[in-house]
Amino acid sequence: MKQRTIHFTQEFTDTPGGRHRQHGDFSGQQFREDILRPALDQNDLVILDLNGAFSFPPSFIDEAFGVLVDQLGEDIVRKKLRIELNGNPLAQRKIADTLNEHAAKKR
Amino acid sequence: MIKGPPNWNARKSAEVLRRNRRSAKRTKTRREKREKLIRHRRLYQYRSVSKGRPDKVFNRPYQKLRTKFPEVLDFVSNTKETLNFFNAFKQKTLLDPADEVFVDLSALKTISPDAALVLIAEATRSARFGCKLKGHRAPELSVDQILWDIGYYSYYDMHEGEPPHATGKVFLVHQTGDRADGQVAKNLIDKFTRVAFFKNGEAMALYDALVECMSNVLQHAYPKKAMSEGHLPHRWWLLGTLAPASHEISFCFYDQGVGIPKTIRTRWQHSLPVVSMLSKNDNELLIEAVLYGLSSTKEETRGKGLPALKGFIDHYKTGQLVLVTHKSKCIFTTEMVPAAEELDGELGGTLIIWTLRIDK
Repeated sequence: MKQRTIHFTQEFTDTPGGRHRQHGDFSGQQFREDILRPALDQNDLVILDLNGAFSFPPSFIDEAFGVLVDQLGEDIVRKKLRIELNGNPLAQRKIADTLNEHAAKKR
Repeated sequence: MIKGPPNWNARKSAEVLRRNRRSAKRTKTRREKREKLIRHRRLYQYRSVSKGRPDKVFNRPYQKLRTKFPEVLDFVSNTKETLNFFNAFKQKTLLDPADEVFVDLSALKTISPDAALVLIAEATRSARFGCKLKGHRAPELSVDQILWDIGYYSYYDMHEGEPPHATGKVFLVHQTGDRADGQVAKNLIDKFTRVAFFKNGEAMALYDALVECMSNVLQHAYPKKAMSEGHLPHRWWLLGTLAPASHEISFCFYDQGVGIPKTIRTRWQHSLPVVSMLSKNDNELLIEAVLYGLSSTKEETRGKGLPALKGFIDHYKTGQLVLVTHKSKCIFTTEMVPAAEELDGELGGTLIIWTLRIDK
C-alpha cells in the first residue's frame, strides 16, 4: 500500500490564502491542483498534516477539500485522505462540514 | 566679382516671417490638440462614470475647488454627514473633476480611523482618475496625529514638518493590496497580539475574517460589467488601530466595489428564493447573509464567507461589527440583535469595522 504524508506548512505555507489561484498565492485551488490531487492520484493513502498553519479561511477549505469531493467523490476522498489537525477545532469542524455538504450535493 | 542676390535682405526677412508663421501655426495646432484631448478625457470620464447624460460637456477654464469637511468625520457616530461629505468629495474629484482640489482640513475636529481609511482610498482614486489634489497638515492635533500615523500625508507630498506629539493613540500604517494575501493578515495580527493578548482562537477568527474579506473583494466586489473606468480593480484597504487609554482595538477594511447587497442580488439571484429576494430589503438580506450565510441550490456550498466576518467578535462580550455598504448600515454585537439603518446617501463600496475593548 502506497502512502504519502503531506506536511502542509513545510510543503505549502503557514498562511493559506483565498479560493482561486488568480486571486493570490497559496490559494485553495493551488493547494488542491499542485499538491493534494496529485498525491491522491499516486497513492493509496495520503496523510495530510495541517498542524502549524495560522488558520484556514472558509474559501480556502471549500476550494481545496470541497471541490476535491466534487471531482473524486466522497468515498475515494474519505478512504484515501486522512487529515491531522490539533488545536484548531473551528477549522476541523469547517473541514468536516465542507466535506459533508459537498458529498450531500453530489448525492 | 561675386555678387549676392539682389534682394537678399528682403528674401531673408520673408523666410523668417514664413518660419514664424509656421511655428505659430504649429503651436496653435498643438494647443488645440491638447485642449481637445483634455475635453475628450473629461467627457469620457464623465460618461463612463455617470452612464450617459453628456449634457454637461466640459469646456471650461482651469478650475480650482476646495473641500468642505464636517467637524466630525466618522462612519459609525456621524454616518449621514460623513457620507454626504464623501459623495461631495467624489463629485468634485472623480465624477465631475475639477482640475485641482484643495483638501482643506481646517474645519475637521475629529476623524475616526474608518473615515481616515476611506479618505485615503478616495483620494488615491481621485488622484489616479480625476484631478490633482493639494492640501496641508491638519491644524487639529488629534486629526493630524491620525492622518500622520496612517500615512495619509505621504500620498500627497504633505509629509513635511515634525511628526505630531503622541496623544495616547497608537496607529498602524494602513495597507492596501489587490490580492488575497494571508501574510498581510498574519503580520497585522502578530503586531496586535503583543498588545491585545489575542488567544489562539481569536487570532484565527480574525485571520479568517480578513482573508475572507480580501477574497470576497477579488471574487465579487468589482464585477467587470458594473464597474466604470474610474475604479482601481480588486483594490482593498486595511487598517488596524489601538487606543491604549480606552483599551479599544479596531480593524477597518474597505473596498470601492458594488457593495454586498448588490452582489447578493446579482450573484445569488438564481439561488435564493424569489420571495426572499423580493420581500426583503437590503438590510434584511445583509443581516441574513452575515448571520447564516447564503444557502443556495445552484452552488449550495458557496456563500459561507460572510459569517466569518462576525466570527471574530463572537469571542468578545464588547465586540462590535459595523457594515456600511451601498445604502445599508448594520451593526452586529455579541449580545444584542443586529441593528440596521437605511442610509440617505450611498457609499460606493463596502466598509467593515470590527471594534472591541480588551479588559485585560
